[in-house]
Amino acid sequence: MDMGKKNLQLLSGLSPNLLAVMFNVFSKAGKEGRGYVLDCISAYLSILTHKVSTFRV
Amino acid sequence: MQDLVGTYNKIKTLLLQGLSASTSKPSSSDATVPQTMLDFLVQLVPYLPDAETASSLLELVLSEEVLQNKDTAVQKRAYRVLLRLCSASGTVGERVLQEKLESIIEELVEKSGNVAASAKKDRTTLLSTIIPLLPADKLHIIPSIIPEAVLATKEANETARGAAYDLLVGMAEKMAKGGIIRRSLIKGSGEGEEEEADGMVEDAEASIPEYVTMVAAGLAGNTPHMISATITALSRLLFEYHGKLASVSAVAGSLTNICFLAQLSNETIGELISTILVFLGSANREIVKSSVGFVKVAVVCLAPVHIQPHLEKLIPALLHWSHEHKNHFKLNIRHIFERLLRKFGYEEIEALTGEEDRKLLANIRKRQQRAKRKREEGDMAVDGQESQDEATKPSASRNAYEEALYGSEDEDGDSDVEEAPKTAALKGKTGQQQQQQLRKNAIGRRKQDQRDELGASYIQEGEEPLDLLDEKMLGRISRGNPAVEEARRAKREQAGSAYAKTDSRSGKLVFNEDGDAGSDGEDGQQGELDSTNAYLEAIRGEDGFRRNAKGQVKVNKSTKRSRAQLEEDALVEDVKDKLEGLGVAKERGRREKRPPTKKFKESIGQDFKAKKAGGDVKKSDGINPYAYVPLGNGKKRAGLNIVNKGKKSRS
Repeated sequence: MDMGKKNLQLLSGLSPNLLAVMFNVFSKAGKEGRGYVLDCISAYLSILTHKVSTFRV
Repeated sequence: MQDLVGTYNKIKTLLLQGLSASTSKPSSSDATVPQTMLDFLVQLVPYLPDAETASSLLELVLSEEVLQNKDTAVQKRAYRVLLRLCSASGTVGERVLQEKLESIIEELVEKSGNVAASAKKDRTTLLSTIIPLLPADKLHIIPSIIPEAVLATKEANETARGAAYDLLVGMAEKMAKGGIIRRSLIKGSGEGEEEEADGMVEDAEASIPEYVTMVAAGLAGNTPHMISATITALSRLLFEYHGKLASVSAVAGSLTNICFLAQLSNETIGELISTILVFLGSANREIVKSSVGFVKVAVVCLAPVHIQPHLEKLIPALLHWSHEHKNHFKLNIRHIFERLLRKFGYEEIEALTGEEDRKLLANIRKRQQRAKRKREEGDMAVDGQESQDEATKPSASRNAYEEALYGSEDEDGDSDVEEAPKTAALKGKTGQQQQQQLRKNAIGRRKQDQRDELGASYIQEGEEPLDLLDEKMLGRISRGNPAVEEARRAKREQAGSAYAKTDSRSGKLVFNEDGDAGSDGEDGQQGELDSTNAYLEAIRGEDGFRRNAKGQVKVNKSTKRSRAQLEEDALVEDVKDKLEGLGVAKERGRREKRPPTKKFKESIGQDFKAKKAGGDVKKSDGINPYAYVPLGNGKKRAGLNIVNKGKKSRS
């Protein structure tokens, strides 16, 4: 359990950079790849740390 | 986090730039900047940090630039953003939504300028999500959306159609909960700003009958397309709300109110049916197609008491189109008649059909009997070792409405009926009740057909369970019932074939050649002939003798006459042979001694002789040609002589 949380923290620290990269990749991805990249982006957005999430789905 | 807000702002700037730049490459395969940006925004929505960003995004998307952009892809994505926004369920999110709902609706509904065709699906889904959120005083939107929803039921895309039905049902549900529709608020309904003294400005109470009336207004449309779409929409509504009043007990006054609002009254149903009946007689095939669909749904769902008064007009109208094979008219009408037969009994329907169309009813009956027989046979052969795969998805992939529309009474090998579209969504609770009922009906169907539909198969196992890695594994899995298959195979082997038989020891096929079979028979025949001739010779020949009643030997008299007859017979035989060789007509017989039999012979066949070589003329009264040739002796009685009484008789 702990390990998982630590991993998540690490990832959320890295995510801004990763997201920037993913945005760029997306524009070059083409029709087939677009969906997967979007899924990935969505996943990383979810672990992006923010103060309070007021707008939940 | 700042990251998110920062990201959002960056994306927003890029988007606005892209929008203003626009139309540099209108049709390139790569995504344009606005499209990409909007894609990102779609992903961002669930994670927006605060209300501020959310409302900013909302405004951005609702702006005319985005929502009514010429690029269809941009429009699609805009609708998707809105969809995600509106599906938000967090408390703060909901508050934002409520605040902004008005502006959303205004932009969405009342300024629906240039909706791209491919964006329709997303727009319809968005609307169906918004409608449940409507406050009760804003119901005037519903009449404005109805035409759009109705037309969307004719979309090519399957999900678009499904969304349209969802929207229609959603609006109906909203209406069922009550409220007031202020007609004055409906913009664009003809008179607009001006206040009419009478009629137009009246407020209407929201209820299902009111809703159905509004939808039915589309029946007065200009194009057959619209009319057809309206009929389809009405059939869906009928299916959902024909309702069983028994389920709501009308005890308290308020309850009766609900009852009234949520169901279609009998009068409304009656009116609907009679209206659609009129359309059944239309010349336009599209209209008739949806009318037939409506009738099918009605016949399946409604109680007989609702359909009874309309039977007189319904049946001739249906029969009028029953010979039309296109658009599955013939098939659908046959299914409708099957249901009608079940509901009303054969006599009543037969009374209403004309002579020519009774054939149809008779045919339906025969099919049912055939299906019944097959079912009984199939069930009898069912006891045998079988293990079925569990069916994971029964025909629930066809929801109840589609089952009513496309299904048939007993699906005995009517594979052309199975146009089962694979829609995932199950409909509302009324729909689910219907589904259970239909599943119960399905139990009556032939068991093997049911199993086939469920994708079941038979696994023949010995002692151990089936080893899936085994080489011969596939051989043990079979489609049909193994007991039945075995019986069929055994029968086939027994019967054998006319032209070949399997030699049991060596397993080789032995062919029956004509020469062998023929020569075998002929040999036997020839042998018989020899012995017969010897016998006759012994009796009638020169040296032959007979014994009379007392046992005394009487030698054959070899008189002149008998000698002459023998010679002539021999001659006649020769001539006959030669004539046959030449292919000339056969001998006419000796006129002197055989007139009575000859004439009789000719007259025997005369009655049935056909003039134009069409074979025997079969008479309806009396005997048929191949039977009953009367017998008699040669000279006196008319009849065929088989004992040779006229021919060289001795003693």
